[in-house]
Amino acid sequence: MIVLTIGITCIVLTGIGIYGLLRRTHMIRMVLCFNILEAAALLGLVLIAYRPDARSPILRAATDVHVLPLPHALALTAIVIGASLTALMLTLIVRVHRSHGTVLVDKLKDWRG
Amino acid sequence: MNSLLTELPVLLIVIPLAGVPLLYFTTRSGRGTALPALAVILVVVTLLSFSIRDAMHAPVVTAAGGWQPDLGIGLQFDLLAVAAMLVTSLIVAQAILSHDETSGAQHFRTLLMLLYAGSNGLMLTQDLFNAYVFIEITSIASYALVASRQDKGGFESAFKYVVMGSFAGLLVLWGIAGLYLTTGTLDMQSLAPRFDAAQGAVPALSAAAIIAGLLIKLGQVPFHAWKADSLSGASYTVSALLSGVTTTAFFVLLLRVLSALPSLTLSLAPVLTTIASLSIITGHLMALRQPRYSRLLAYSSVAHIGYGLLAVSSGAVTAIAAGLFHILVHAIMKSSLFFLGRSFLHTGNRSDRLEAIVFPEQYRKLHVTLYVLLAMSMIGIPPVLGFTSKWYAVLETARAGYHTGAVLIALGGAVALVYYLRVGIQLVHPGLPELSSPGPASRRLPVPLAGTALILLLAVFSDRLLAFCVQAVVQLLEAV
Amino acid sequence: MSRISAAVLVSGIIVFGVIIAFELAVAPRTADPLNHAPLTLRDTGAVNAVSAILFDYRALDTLGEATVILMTATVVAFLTPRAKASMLAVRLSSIVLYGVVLLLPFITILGIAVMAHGHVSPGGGFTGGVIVATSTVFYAVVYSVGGQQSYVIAPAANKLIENTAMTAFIGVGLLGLGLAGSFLANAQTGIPLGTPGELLSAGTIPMLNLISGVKVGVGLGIIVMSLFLE
Repeated sequence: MIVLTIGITCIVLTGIGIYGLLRRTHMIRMVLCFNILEAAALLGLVLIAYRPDARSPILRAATDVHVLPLPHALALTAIVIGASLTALMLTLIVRVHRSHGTVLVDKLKDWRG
Repeated sequence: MNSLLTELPVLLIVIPLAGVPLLYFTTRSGRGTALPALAVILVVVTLLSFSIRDAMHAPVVTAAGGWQPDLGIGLQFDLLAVAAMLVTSLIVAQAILSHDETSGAQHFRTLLMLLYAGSNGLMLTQDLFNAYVFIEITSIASYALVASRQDKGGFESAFKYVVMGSFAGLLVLWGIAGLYLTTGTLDMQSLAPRFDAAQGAVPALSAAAIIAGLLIKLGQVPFHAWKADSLSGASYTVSALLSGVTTTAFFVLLLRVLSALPSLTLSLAPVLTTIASLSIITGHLMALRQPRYSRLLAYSSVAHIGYGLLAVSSGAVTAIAAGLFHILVHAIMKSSLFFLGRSFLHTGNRSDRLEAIVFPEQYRKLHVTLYVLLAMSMIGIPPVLGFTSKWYAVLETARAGYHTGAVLIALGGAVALVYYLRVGIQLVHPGLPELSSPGPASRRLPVPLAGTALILLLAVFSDRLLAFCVQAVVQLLEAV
Repeated sequence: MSRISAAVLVSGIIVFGVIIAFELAVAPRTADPLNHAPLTLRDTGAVNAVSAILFDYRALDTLGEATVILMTATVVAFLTPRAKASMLAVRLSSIVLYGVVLLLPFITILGIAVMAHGHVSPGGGFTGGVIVATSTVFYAVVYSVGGQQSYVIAPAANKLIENTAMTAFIGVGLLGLGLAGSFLANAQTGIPLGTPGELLSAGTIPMLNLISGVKVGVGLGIIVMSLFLE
């Protein structure tokens, strides 16, 4: 049940993110949508690691059942990459705002496609 | 010595990475010289050329950190990697020589080293998640390079590029997560049997998501528009890098992913063929009506990557090899054309509108000759290398049974003739009077001399080069 | 895009999504997923299996990840020219001013402790690095009032630390190459793994934890400070 709930949450978040990216008007909102999409992917990774009645992968006693550690490690790497991308996007928005005076995508002249 | 050979793939990634602190520590002032960066490339190329023989014998497989693939990360150094890395090294070296602006030179070289490390990793890795990390290193370096022009257009293009690219990156991440869920492995070598054994729609959807992400990064239809936008906002040197290094690396990774999943590739072949054909048509037709040099070249890239993809999707070994060969040749000639565009700036002309471009007074004849040779190569007129690579692509695609595709590739050349001729006439007979304020006069020979000479010289050995590519593809398909 | 087409699109995505979610939930998970947990203690001597994967089994990924942070910090600092912080011309009360000074050492020590215990407890270099970065940001936010810029560490020193950490990471890797013949090797080099659960155990994992902690701390500091001074 919990798997289904989190799975649906994950997919709904993806839907919100994609919809937001398609309705692009405001640059900051596009970044937020990217972050929502990324959160959904991370949630998916944690869901993959999930095992019923398992403990976190800190190996105190060898007899315990642990969740899979690999997706957690992958999620950690993905978080760092996502944070870096967000910082880069925000920097570019700051510069675009400074040179064009707007952060609305449809007001940018050369924006096509 | 033996252990050094097995560690070669890791070294090929780590040496450019070590170039970053090297660049930092060797320059205390802002400017610095190009020497450390060139030295890094020289070391990498030396290592490559000394190990071609071993790679011919058998692919060098490395378990990074001593952990066997699956538990750890596997890297594979094979002929495919050798061929692609030799091409990208040439382009990176040309880019270092081409960037003659004083401001931000050190920043540019640092990013270049990171791009180099990332693309090398992309072409060597056998692990899906490791590939994701290298995709992001390569991409972030590319975004930063586009933004490094530091003007209005640059930031706008870079932002669009980042949004498109990170969406593609997330698709790849989704796909990797789904494949791990259903197959329980991240290693490409052991993926195929587990993939075939897995049930349900999830494994196929996940693999399709990875391939879709890579196709977006390659700028194939329907996600082709960003490519022209980001290339037209970047400086010519950066455009050369994006269309030479980044594209080649992603194409090699796509080849690896496709060959790791033979059953999926077989069922996806019609889809890939359709995408490739549409890209060829769209790319050439859009290139016809572009008012600016860099946008024209960008759309032509979409079409040429379509050629490669079309040949690859036909599935025959020789066709895949011809596709690979064409992509590598295209990387050299397209980047040379972009490097050539840098000379326009030396006339003091900032615009790259087609009716305004003109070569500088100095070495004008040489520039025009280079343009003519490169354009001939792009269109596919003998005796340059572009002709032979295209010829093989047409021939092998037709032989694999894709007659429509072969006709499309051949027709593409005819359309390309129109737009390259249009640019050529303008360059030979500049319509506009010379600009009153000449820009920074360059005493140096044009940078793409190296690439053009290579295209001319290698045309003699093109059958051997194709044989090399065939061997690379055989190795790639055998490894699985 | 009209409202109707948007509604159709969203409902389409949601319906498609629910189908996929259901498929995912009932998807036959593979019987033998790659699981590092049973091997970790024997192979690496680390109690924290996630740390063991990050800094030993898949250390090459982590090198790439550290590179991403280095690159982003460089790019963000390059693209945001130094400007005065204008939005902060607020007078802060003395409670904030002195409170931060009092808190700062504790935050930093907590960060370092999390980094150093990465292999024996939850946490690690990345978490610890973020905690250390918050202390930098706190200090800068509070003491940059009125446009005067304050740093715990000057930007030039930040870059030096970042590049030194990168060199150190590669150095640890080369140590593995020299001793065991493979880059970033840990147990194979003959470094004693120690008793699992103790502070000095797990070979090179604590070293890499500290190095990446420093990198993340400094890198995030640079990123936040650049955006914040804009």
